[in-house]
Amino acid sequence: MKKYISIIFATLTLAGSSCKKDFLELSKNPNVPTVTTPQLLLSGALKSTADIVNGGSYVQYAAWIGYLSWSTGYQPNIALLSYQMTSATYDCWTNPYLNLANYNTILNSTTEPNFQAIAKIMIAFDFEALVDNYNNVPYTQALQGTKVLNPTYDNGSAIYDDLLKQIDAAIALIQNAPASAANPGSSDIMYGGNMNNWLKFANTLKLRIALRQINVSAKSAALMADVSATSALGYLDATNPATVNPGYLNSDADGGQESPLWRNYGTTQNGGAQTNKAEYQANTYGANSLSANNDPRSVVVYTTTGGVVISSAFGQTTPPAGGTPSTPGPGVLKSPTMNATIMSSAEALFLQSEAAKDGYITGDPVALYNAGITASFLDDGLTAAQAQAYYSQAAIAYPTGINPVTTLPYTDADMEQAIITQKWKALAIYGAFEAFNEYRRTGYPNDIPLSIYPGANPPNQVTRIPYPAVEYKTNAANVAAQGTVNVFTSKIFWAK
Amino acid sequence: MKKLLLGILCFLVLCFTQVLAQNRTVTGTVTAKEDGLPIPGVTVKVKGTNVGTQTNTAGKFTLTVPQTATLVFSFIGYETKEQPATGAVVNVTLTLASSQLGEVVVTGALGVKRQAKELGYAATNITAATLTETHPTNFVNGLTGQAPGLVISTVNNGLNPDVRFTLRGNRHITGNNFALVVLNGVPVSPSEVNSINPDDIESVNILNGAGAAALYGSEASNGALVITTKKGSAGGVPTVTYSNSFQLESISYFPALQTQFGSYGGEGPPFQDPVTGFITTPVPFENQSYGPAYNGQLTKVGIPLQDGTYQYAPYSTPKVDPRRAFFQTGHSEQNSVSYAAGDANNSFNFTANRLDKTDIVPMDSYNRTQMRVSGSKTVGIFRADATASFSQDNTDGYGNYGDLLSTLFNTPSWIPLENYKNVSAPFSDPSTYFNSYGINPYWSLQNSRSVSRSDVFSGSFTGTLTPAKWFDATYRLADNSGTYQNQTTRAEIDYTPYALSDPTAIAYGAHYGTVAQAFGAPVNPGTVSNYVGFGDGSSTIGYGGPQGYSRIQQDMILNFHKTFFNDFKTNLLLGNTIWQEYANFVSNGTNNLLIKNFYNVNYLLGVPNVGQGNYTIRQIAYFGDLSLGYKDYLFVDGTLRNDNDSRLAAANRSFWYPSVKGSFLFTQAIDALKGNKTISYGKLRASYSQVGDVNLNPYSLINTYTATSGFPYGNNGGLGLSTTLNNAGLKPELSSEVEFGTDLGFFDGRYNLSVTYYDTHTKNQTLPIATSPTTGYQNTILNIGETQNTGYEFKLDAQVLQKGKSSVGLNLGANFSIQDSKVLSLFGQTTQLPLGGYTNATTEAVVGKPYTALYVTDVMRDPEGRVIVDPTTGMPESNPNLVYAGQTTPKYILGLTQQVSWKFITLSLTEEYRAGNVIYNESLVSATAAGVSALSAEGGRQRFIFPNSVINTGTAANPVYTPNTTISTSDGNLNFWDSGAYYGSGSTYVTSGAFWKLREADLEFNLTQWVKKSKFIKKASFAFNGRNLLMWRPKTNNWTDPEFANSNTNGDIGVNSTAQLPPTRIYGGNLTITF
Repeated sequence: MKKYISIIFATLTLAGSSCKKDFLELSKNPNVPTVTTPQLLLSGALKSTADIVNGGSYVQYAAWIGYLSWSTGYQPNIALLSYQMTSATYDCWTNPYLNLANYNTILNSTTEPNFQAIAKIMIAFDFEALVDNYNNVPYTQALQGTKVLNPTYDNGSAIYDDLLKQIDAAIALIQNAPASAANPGSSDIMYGGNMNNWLKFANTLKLRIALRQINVSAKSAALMADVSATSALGYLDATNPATVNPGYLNSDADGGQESPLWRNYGTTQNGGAQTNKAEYQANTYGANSLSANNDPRSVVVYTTTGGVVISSAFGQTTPPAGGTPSTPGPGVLKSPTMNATIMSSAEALFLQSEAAKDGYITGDPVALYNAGITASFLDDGLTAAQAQAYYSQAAIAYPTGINPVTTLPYTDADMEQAIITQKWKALAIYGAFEAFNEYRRTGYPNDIPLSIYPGANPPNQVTRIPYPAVEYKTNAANVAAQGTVNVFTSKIFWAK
Repeated sequence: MKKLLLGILCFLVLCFTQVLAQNRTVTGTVTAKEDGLPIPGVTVKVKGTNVGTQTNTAGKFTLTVPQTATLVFSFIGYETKEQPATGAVVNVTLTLASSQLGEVVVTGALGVKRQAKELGYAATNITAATLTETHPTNFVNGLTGQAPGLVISTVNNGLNPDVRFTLRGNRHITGNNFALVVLNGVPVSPSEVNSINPDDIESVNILNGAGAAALYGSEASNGALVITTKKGSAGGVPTVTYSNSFQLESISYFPALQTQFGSYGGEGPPFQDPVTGFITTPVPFENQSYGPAYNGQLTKVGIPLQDGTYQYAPYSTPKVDPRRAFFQTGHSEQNSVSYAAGDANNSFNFTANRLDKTDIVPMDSYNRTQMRVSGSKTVGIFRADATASFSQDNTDGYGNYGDLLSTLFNTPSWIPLENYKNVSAPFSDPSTYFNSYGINPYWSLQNSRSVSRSDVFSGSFTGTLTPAKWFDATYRLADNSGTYQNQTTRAEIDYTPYALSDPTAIAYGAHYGTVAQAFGAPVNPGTVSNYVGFGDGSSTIGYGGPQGYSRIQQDMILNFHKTFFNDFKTNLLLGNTIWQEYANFVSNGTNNLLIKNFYNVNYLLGVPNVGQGNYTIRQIAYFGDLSLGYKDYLFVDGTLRNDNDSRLAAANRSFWYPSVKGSFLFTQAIDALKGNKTISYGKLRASYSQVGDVNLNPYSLINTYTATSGFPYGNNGGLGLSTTLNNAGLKPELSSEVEFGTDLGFFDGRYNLSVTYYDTHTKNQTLPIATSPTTGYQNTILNIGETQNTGYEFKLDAQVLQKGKSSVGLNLGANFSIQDSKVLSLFGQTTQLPLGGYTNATTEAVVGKPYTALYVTDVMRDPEGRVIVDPTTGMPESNPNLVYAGQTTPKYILGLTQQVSWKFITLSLTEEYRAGNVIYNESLVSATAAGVSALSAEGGRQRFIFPNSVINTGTAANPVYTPNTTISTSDGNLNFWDSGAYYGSGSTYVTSGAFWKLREADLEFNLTQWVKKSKFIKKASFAFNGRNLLMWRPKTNNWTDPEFANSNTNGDIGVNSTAQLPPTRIYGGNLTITF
């Protein structure tokens, strides 16, 4: 019997001790990688930025700013049509911050200057969008994981100031990069590793951030000096728009491989309508504006029935007569594999036109204005000749010299109206958020109708959306400290 | 009970040998006094010697005895009886021992058998008869209402519905709250209960608390169901049992729908009068039911065919609601065979069961085949036990291309749904179906299928050495594993050019759209998705285990027992357990099949979707258990266990936790109480225990990078940070439980009462906390938060009339639990943790509130709770804050059982009551949006004064609330019921979760006395039975079964959606014959 016992004890001891160390070492994840490279992170992050800019989270702005209407074939979307928003209605917050975390990881995980510079530029791009959506947002304490679980909010204006510094630092990183510095190459799905284009993009972003604050007169001198310090780098033009294309495919696999704007308003791989194609249709204001003054863009920005855009007013509940309601057209939705726009040539040129007008940069505002219109026409699949015919009309031409109607010189306001109104037309649908920003900064176009949905009765256009529900749940005290947001009166610091 | 005792006895009598002088032979039969039935396994000894035998299955014995001898008959649970052996035949009747409650042997943790009096904790033993009385297809349903503290919820109907079972409520805010399922000594996945043949089960022992189950270690914090399967017989005569059970299943309670109003969904003129705003004409192609009142006139349905043909139907609801008529009566048939044989040293048992089932959903079917073989052999000091089972099931179910209920809710009641069964016929096909916004449910049913197969193997071997009276050693090896295979397909949908051109414009003047036109292309290709998984044979992997995992386990247990100084009985158990859980899956699919009706992912357009994963968890544990008994009335038991778990970092991997339990039999200890007939048994018990629990998915320590959506694009890969920030410093959760209780027997044990109080604190909860996205992550995993569960459990059994004394027997049983829970703390600024998000509602863990708490949107109310309406529109307004609506898990659970027997007829009933909780009917939201719920017609679709509403006649700062008696809502139709504050308030759809159910009814006819004469039939019985025959709900709940839930995970409890089928009742008959 002693024998039995000793055998059992021996087995017991053996089983318990011999393989224990390796046996329990199972922390290695066989399902998801735990390492990455700056290249893989950069491709992923740039693609996600394109998704944010072109995806569904800005579709409400496309409706409010006059491009699209809620489909009359659907139950009314009350939040959208009567501006009855709660914090739960819109979230333009989560995806930018998650995107920022990826750029931040590139910045902190590599010493390669080109990668760091791109990360810094895109961090500025994302934070600008966050400020434009929400004004004060977490910045200095953000993106630190469990180290700061409840980041406090920074003043929007102060964030803008720091973004300009960060862009300058990024420019310096590229300019000072040694010849041996790694080039991001094909992992840079925006410029294919062309760092000169990144310098121009950074410089144009700087210009956008500076001009956005034009209503903050106390900052003007400093902003002007800051812009001129790097103006020699040049800006984006018709040749080098900021667009992303990782090799988009007409495929629904892996969460959707189509270009994000197509995935937003277009069709699935098999030709079925995406949600926003079914739920949104042409807005009568947009259809009219884009056909006024012989503008040929209306019929390419929207689909047509027998050559006619079938549209409904924003808030209308009965189907429009004449055919199947129009949706975003071939000028905007070129193909499932089209480039995704981060910043279009037209937008960059209109920015330069305005900057030249206001003396931020040297240049001819008229030529830049015409170039902006031309870029928009080309972008929509039209010709430069059509553009020229369009901007040569007296009603469209850049208002310079004497106004033949009033016989007084054109005012700065006239010029601004022309630039921003044309910019609104150029940004049709794909640039809804930027058009909404410029509307709030300048008040142009000044004839966008509000919702006619029964009982909507808004006092004015929405000035901003509320902070998202997730923040009230996870960072309650800090968001509460920002006070109550009124969607008709609370303004972004740069707004008119 | 006898069978259980028999099994134990076989073991005990092995030591007896027969050595005696040849004298004379005595035979006899031992029967039980109370029912007159023979008792197998009774020990018969000649007084003063070691000479003895035991009775066989027929209760008979044969023994050679000296000329003058006295026989001693003993059997656990019965009074020992002495009888002089005069003559050749000695027949004896045994009576139940007065102290039987304490003598009952209970299989506790690790298969350790203890007498009930030694236990310091609450446990309930359920016998096979109770479990299978009404032949549930999942044996767990047979436990419903039978034990205090146990809550069993069938969360949906269907072919093979999910069942959730918890003991003492939910301890863990997230993760697994299922009671641990232990099959023949080894834990298995809770999903595997469905693979266990109900007829296999010898007994289920329910260990309510962590204390009882402490020896099972870190998995036992939720209590345990310890299942023992049948082992064969020791009587020497083989028995064969055949049983057939046939049951029907039909809808018992359909949601309350309105039948007065037909089709309309907000269209303007010509359906609406432009001046008055009245709806004048039903909209033939509309899915919503906000139209004019029915008038019986023949009315156009849907769009015309291309040749201009219209279909017409009377504008009224037919006698049988077509939505209800969509469902059928399902049936199930079970055929079951078992064979049991054996003698004192060997046993063999075989069972097989076949189930064939159809559902209330047409076309759906299910079958299951199960087999188990068990055997044992004893040779000298060595005993071997082995058991193996195999189960296969096949499911052919609806592929869920649109929830059926949702599709039916979006079918106005006048639509002649039964005409659309031929789905390729005009007006039924996708191009010309009446509904411009939905597809024919018959089309979906026939063309969207989910076919799956599950194969489950379970086997174990146990070897025991008993080299000395004071020592034995056991080695056990067990494996449970299964595969699950599924293919879900949806046929290609083709639209005609006519449908794509939007025929509503031709027929009704404006482009209202069609399904085809909304889709926008002529072909919507077919879809396929395939899933093959290895694990427990179920479809989902609960990544933290044990759900979804296969398991291989080895146990080694040394058991020392000795009695010192006659009074101190000691037992020391030392053990080691090593287990591994493993699961993997491979999946693929596409939404763009190349060829119509050819479902192979190889033939597609574009790129397939693919996935794979594999998961391994390992644990090594050491444990010890020392128990001391003093003079049969004082018992103390202490355990200590150390677990080492692979999911934690090396520094936190090893953790210890103890338990101590005691019981005191005052009826034994106090001389004055001994032999007292009024209080025949009395025990006080107390227990304190800790159980560590690794409530964590494997690989949760190191941060990961996931493929960015859309990637790869050719040679371009893209990765992004996981949105969950992992945490390398995670530690186990710790549940501490204090338990007190008493077990009392009155009047010779005919009335038994058991009362238990418990208080459990679960600390260090491993919670995926939602973080502000501004941190860069959406979630992180932290050890935070503490919950408290307290409660009372009562159990009362009463043998009111003993059948032995009269031809009428009456047994009553009741069990009652109060389960309270509270979240004591979460983390930092986080005082609430969302668990599930729904339309207008969330389920959350909130500090200071019971767990799980339901929060809903609401309308503005005055301090008295009356709804504040706008003084001009009469409409309520939305409250911007979510309000607390109640807890979703029941607080009060009452189970009642009655058994009345008269001669050969026995009627058994089980009822259950649950209360103290609320449910959120998300399916009522969609039915109200569709305008079919009875709720949506409560105001007769007219403007009405909102009941019990008030108007603020003061100022915003100093409100004065005056009852509203004059201001009607500005709209009583679509704009009130399908939009606006009242519609958008989750509170509108919250109802009490209370119910009474007649869970089981079984009327059995014991035919044995008539068939006994035939040589080969030993027993026969026939029964009518039913499950869930009746349900009583509060009037406010006219919707569905409060038990139903979106899934069996924590956050979904108490929330139902259109994915749940209507409640059903099951009824049928059963025939059992034993040869």
